[in-house]
Amino acid sequence: MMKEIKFRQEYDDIKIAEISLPEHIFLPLNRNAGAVNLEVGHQINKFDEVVPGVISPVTGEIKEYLKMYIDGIETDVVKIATVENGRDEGDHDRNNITDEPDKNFHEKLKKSGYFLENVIDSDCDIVVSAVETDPLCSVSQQILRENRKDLNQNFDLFKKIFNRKKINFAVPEHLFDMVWKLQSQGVNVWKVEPNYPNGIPEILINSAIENKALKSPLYLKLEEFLNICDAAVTGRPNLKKVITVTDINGMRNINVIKGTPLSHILKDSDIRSAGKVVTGGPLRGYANFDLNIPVTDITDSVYVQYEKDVVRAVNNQCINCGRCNGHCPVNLSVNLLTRYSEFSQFENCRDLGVENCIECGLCSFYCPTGRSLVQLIRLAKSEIKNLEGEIEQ
Amino acid sequence: MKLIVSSPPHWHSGSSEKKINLDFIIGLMPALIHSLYFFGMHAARVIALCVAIAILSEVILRKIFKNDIGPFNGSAVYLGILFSMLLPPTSPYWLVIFGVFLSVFIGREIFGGIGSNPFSPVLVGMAILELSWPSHLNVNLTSVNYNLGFDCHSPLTALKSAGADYTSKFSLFELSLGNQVGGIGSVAIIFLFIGGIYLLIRKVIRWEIPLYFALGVIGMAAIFRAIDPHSFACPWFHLLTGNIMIGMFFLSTDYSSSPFSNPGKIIFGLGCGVLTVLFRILSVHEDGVIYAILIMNLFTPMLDKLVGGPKMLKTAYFGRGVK
Repeated sequence: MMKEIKFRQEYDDIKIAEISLPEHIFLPLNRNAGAVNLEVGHQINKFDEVVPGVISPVTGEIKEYLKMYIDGIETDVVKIATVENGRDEGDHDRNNITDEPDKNFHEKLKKSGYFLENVIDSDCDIVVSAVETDPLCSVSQQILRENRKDLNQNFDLFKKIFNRKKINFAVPEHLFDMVWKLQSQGVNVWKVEPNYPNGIPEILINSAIENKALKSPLYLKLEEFLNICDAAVTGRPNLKKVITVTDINGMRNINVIKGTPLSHILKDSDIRSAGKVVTGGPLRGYANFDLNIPVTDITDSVYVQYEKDVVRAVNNQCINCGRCNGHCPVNLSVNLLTRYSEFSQFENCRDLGVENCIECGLCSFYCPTGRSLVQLIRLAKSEIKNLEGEIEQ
Repeated sequence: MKLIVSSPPHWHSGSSEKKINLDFIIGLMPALIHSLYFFGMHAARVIALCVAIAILSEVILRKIFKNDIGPFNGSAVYLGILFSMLLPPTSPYWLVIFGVFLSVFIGREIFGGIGSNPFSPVLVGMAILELSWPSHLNVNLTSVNYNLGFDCHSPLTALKSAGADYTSKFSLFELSLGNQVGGIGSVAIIFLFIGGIYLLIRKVIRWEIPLYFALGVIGMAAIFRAIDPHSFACPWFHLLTGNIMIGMFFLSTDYSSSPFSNPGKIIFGLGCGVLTVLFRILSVHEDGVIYAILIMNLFTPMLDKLVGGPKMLKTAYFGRGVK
């Protein structure tokens, strides 16, 4: 067992480090566009499009097309063998953005893979969040620390692009001092207690709606927000992603090329043995069975757990102690819900509002009998979907 | 590298049934020590027999019902100790065996084991014993052979037979120290209170039920007292006599037979308190805690269904709301 489990997401200043170029990268493809494959063996340059909307982050050669389970979803992937040349050419530095957005920033955003016309035209509120979504992840707060001087320029730029007067910015309490000055520039800075699950988009936005009367807000992570600002100026997307790697020796933040396989990250972090490799936080993450899984846009953290720390699944009886209800952030009656689900009474699950579950995992975490509550809730959700599909047919 | 795959979460708090039951047993320890001090080996005999029979009947019944006995989690030990706290020290061995066996059998295992019982198992066994052999559980008769150093006249019997004016000879301070006759542990008011506070601090039990139980008792007794102070005892007298203290912290807070929704807990606690006083005043029974809690146990599913609803998130993420 971990010695002490903390849900306080307040981490030290861990500088973001660069890592070496991997031999291969695996790039997930969006095949819905009806794209044509490039031939195997085709030489591809950095910033070239592999299929429309998917930009190669490296120079190299296309090796093969394959299927992978990324976060449990079957995805088409292209494997590219990298060539080390001219790596830094065309890489941009986030600290040099002073340009005004010119008129064709629409084009530039599109070229970078951001299709945001709908957002620009609508009047929805925008929430930029620097609160971590998962424990053991310090990406957002580290980016905030390292980019705090340029934030005012970025917010100005962003407001011009999206034609907004006010933008909401959620920051963790302990970093509020760094950014409170933004308030004078039409940024609605708002303090959030950095405790899990306050940073999960659903919870964050729900509290925003309750307290600040926002309407149907758009949620952006700080990193994404900075990337959009960059792209509007340079016309090129950020090809790298900051992730937090945690194992028994502590945390480190690294800046990796999108598509870098986990095996390369583990090798670079000097992690030789692992029981479980989880992408996306210990409470909501996906346990991978394949170390070729690449880092994608939504990968925030990699958590390595040793075999002796792994929580074994058990199927015990519910003792109705009510701890799950006490810790549920959306106030579901988890104990009833999971027992209905266990005995296939999915209609009752729907009546109790099972769709409101955000799968934060706190119920399973606190369950004294160690029941797989989240799994039972997922079962109920998927069965309800099936039932509704049948009714529609 | 061999990798393990499982569904999230990948952490666990480390709490377990074993730890919860250990906390409950620790909570009963002060009262248990008090009973050993007063009744010596007589109390030890009852406690040991209760625990042994509870464990034995749980093992045998689970074999018969093909309910795989999991790792030993201490629930039978807790049940045994709690049951023994309600019995007088002179209970014959057959009474103890019969009561504990029925608690485990009819109270719990017949419904499918821990977590499935609609009634607090200890109360089921006690109610059967009280209805079947009232003379063996009569606290005035069972204490005649002891020289305890205080008046061996049950305060509740005194209240029933002689009215409220007579109860003024019991000092509230003496009563709270446990200087009254009753079950071997259920009269150790202050020690049960200390144990209950420990459980509250450890967050093993929910604070709403004990608090509203006490408020229910005090409120109902105060109403009667206001009507006629000569025939109805004062609220504090009710609170400090009989099984109320053990009922507040240990019997009514049984997990599977008490509600988990917040309004449900409040109604449950108030109901237990009010019914207890009504039983004491209006029925032939001297102490109605057991029946009051059993009756409120019946309402538990209804309370949870009526008032325990989910809070709806108002976000655009959730397409369809709940009813």
